[in-house]
Parts: sequence; C-alpha cells; structure tokens
Amino acid sequence: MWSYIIRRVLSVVPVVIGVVTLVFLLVHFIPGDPVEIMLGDAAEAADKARLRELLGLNLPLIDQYVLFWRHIFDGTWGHSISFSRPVLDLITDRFGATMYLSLASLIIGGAISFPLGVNAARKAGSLQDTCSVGFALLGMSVPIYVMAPIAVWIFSVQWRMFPVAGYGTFSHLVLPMVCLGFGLSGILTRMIRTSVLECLGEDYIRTARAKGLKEREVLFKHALRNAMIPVITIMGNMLGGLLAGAVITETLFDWPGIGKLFFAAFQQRDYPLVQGVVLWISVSYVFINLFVDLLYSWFDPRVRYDS
Amino acid sequence: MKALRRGQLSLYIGATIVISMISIALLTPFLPLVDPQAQDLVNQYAVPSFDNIFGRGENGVDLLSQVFWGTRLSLGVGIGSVLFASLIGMFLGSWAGYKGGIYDLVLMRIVDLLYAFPGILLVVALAAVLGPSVKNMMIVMVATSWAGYARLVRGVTLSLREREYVAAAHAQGASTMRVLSRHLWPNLLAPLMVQMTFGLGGAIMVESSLSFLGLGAPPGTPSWGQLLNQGREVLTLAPHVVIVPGMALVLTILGLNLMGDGLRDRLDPKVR
Repeated sequence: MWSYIIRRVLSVVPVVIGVVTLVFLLVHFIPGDPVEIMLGDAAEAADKARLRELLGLNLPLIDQYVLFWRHIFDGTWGHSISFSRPVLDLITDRFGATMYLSLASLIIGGAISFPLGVNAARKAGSLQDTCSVGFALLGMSVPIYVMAPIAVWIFSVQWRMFPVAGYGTFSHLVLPMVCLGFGLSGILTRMIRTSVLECLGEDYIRTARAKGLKEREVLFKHALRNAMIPVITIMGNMLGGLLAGAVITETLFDWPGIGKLFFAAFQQRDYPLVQGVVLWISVSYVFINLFVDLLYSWFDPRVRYDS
Repeated sequence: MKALRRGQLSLYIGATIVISMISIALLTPFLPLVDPQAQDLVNQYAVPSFDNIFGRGENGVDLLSQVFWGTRLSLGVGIGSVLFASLIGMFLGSWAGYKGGIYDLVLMRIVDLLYAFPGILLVVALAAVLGPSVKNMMIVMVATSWAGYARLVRGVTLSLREREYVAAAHAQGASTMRVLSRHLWPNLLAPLMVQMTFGLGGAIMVESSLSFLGLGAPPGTPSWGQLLNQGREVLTLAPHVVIVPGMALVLTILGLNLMGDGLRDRLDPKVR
C-alpha cells in the first residue's frame, strides 16, 4: 500500500515540471515581440525597456526559466501587469468562488444522473432506458454557452425567478449550477449506466441473487459499490474540466472566479497572469487526479497490484 | 438484438443530420443567399418572418446567411483539424506502439504532459497567445488534440503487434513502414473512425468556444460562436440571435454523437 502511494505521489513530480516548462514557454510562442503586443505600437521606448526588464525578457532564455521557477517558490508567481499585484494573490482571492460553483454543479450533475443511470441499467432496453439515454445524449450535445443564454432568457428575463448574472446569494448560484450540472449529467448518466450494466452481468451478482438476497440489496450492496469506482474517476476528471471551462461559464454569468480572471488576463494581454492561471488550473488538476487515484486504490486494492 | 436496432437507428439519424450539415457547408457559396455581412440598420434584430426566416442580428445582418456561412467555418475548421490530428496521431501512435522502446517512452511522456491540462485550458491559452485567426485556431486545435488519437492508436497497435500476420510480415523481412501501412493501418481504421466522429463534435465545440471568447475567427467572419456571444448581449430584445445559431450547433453535435454511437455499435464488436 505505502509503496504504491509513494510511487504515485512521486510520479507527479515530472508531470509538474513538464507543465511548468510548457507554461513558461507559452509566452515564447507569441508571434513577434510580447512587450510590443502588450503595450501597443505607440509605447515609449523607455516604457518598453522597463516592462521587458520587469518580465525578465531581456535575460537569456535559461535565466528566464530559472526566474520563472524562483517566482513560483517565492509565492508571487510573477507580477500581473493589469492589476499591479502578485499573480498568486489574484488567483487565491478568486479560486474559492470557482470551486464553490464547480462543486455545486458536480453535486447537481451527480444528483440528476445517479438515479437516471442506475434505473436505465436495471431496465436496460426498456422505454425508460431509451429516454435516459436520449437525455444523456442531449446533455452531451448542448454546450453551456447555448444552454445558459436560453435558461437566462426563460428563468430570468421572462419569469424573473433568478438574477441574470452575478454572485453573492444562493439565487445567484442556481442558474449557473443547474446549467453546468445538466451538461455534466449527460456524460455521467451514460457512464453510470454502462458501469452498472457491466457489474450486473458479473458472476458475484448471480451468486448474490442465487443466495436469495433482495434485489435492493443486490443492487446497492453488490453492484453499485463496484460500479461507482470508474464513476468517481470520471467525476475527478470533470472537476478539472470545470476549472478549465470556468473561463466560459464565469464570463456568461459574471461569476468572480479564476475563469473571469483568465478572460480579463488574455483580453488585457496580461501574459504573466495568463501563465499563472493556466499553471494554477493544470497543477490543481494534476493533484485532483492524484487524490482520486489514491482514493481509488483505497477502495479497490486490485489497482495497487496492477501497476 | 434490440440494442443493435437502436444503434442502427442512431447511425442513420446521425448520418442524415451530418450529411445535411456538410451539404449546407459545401453548397452555401452557390445558394441565392444575401451577403452575410450586408447591413440593414433599420431592421436590426428583426424577429424571424417570411422575408428572413431566421430573423436579423447585429447591424441587421441576415441570420440565415450568417448561420449557413458559419456552418462552413465550423465544419471546415472541425474536419480539417480532425484529419490533421488523426493523421499525426495514427503515424506517431502506430510507430511508437510497433517499435516500442525509446519511441514509445518519449511519445507517451509527451501525451501525458498534454493530458495534464484539463479540458479547453491549453486550447484557450495557446489561442490567446497566438492571436485570433482561422489558421491559428486550426494550429491550436491540431496541437492539442493529436495526443488523443496517438494514445488510442498506440493502444490498438500494442495488441495488433502480437497477431500472427504481423509477426509473419516481420519474419519475411518487411520494413517497419511496410508493416505499418499494409498490416496495421487498415486494421486501425475502425476504432479511429469512431474516435474521429466524436472528435469532430468536440472540435466544433472548441471552435465555437474560441469564437465565443473572441479567440477564434477574426471579427466579421460569420461564425456560430460569435453570433452566440452577440446574442447574449441582446437577450431581452432578440432571443432568436442566440436560439438560431445555438440550434445549428446543438443539431450538428447531436448528429455527430448519434453517428459516433451508431458507428461504435457497428464497428466495435465488444459493445454488442
């Protein structure tokens, strides 16, 4: 057990180094001179020189790379040009709002898809199954930037039930949470259905039924426990996707999280901030996956022996 | 048996939608449509009527024409990027899977690195630094999606490599390229086609996301994503500006998802 945990934790190190390196290189993919793009053609030469020095762009590439790492460890993650504040402060101020919305929509997604998926698997081939599969397909095919404006038009503009956008009260949360949750429930319903269906075909289910267990017990104690393992992994992945997709959701609903920060960052061409947000989200994702994997190995000892 | 029929049905419905959309994309330049950029400021945001069945948008542009030209952009960028990405993925994935060793190690580390960025994060970040243009959008989409195809192809290659016909070809002294092109690639096509169908749906979503964020096609190019972004601002006044391009997008993705499901049912014997 411990050797698996240590190996898995150590496996994160090269990935994080790779991510940091790629994020560092991001600014060097900019066609032309980043300083000129940030300040515009009309900028004074002295201003350009100052910004170049501030960003360390006058240094050789390898020194810039060392500087990038140093900023990560000194707790600033570089300096945002448009906000005139350390990048890490800006991110940590806003990450809570993003996590709040992401977790809330994950819960809604789970609450919709769990009963639908399990029921569809139990009654595979029935009309109820077909409807659930159809619902799942719809959830997967309607992107948030189509769903959200239509939901806002119906529930906020026509019926005046919820605020159009913003942050603060529970009623602000409802529309973004439900729109995101609906999207997630598409994939989740399918996953849960497939996973439960697979488990119901296993020998131990036949054994459980043969020894006379009630169908409820067979389902909840035997099938679901095993069926949920892959579903948890998918939910971990979804959380990462939500953090990345926050740039669209938070723009739509004017939600003050890191997605809106990201949007502001690339609109202002604030490249240190763009790098900071990308780094934060991807590193969070790496750690979420690590956590899910460790959880997984806790629930399912087979994983530890396989790898 | 019942599941099979459902698979077939979804293949037919999906393929019908997809073929219709591709026809629209191909035929748009030859249809008697008004110029998608033609302005009619008096009729800005006019609701759908007999004269303009989809209504008018910002500056009074004709939404029918905008949506049709947007189909061309979405499908063009989508199909182009999926073809490029899957070719790269097929070549690198099969090479690494067949040769193994250092090739495999290096490829898989790169794939792992690209997979460390969730969802559309890397796409948005790259598009933001490269600047909005159709060409950059394609580059970004290929650069971030080839890894998925490479991973799939590598996995399938690993199992195909053990087949006797591959060993026989190898024993006869066939070169790596010959084994790949004669024995592996033809057998990779089925799973690759399923992945490409779903991938096209994903690519179209990415295209419209980027255009929605102002990172895709430059302003003025008719695109679903840009229409959706414009429509969001005038929701109270003219909800059709969101609904029309939104339905086009949803229908296309739904068609591709249905078709992908149907293809998988037909081509992948494991699902049956």
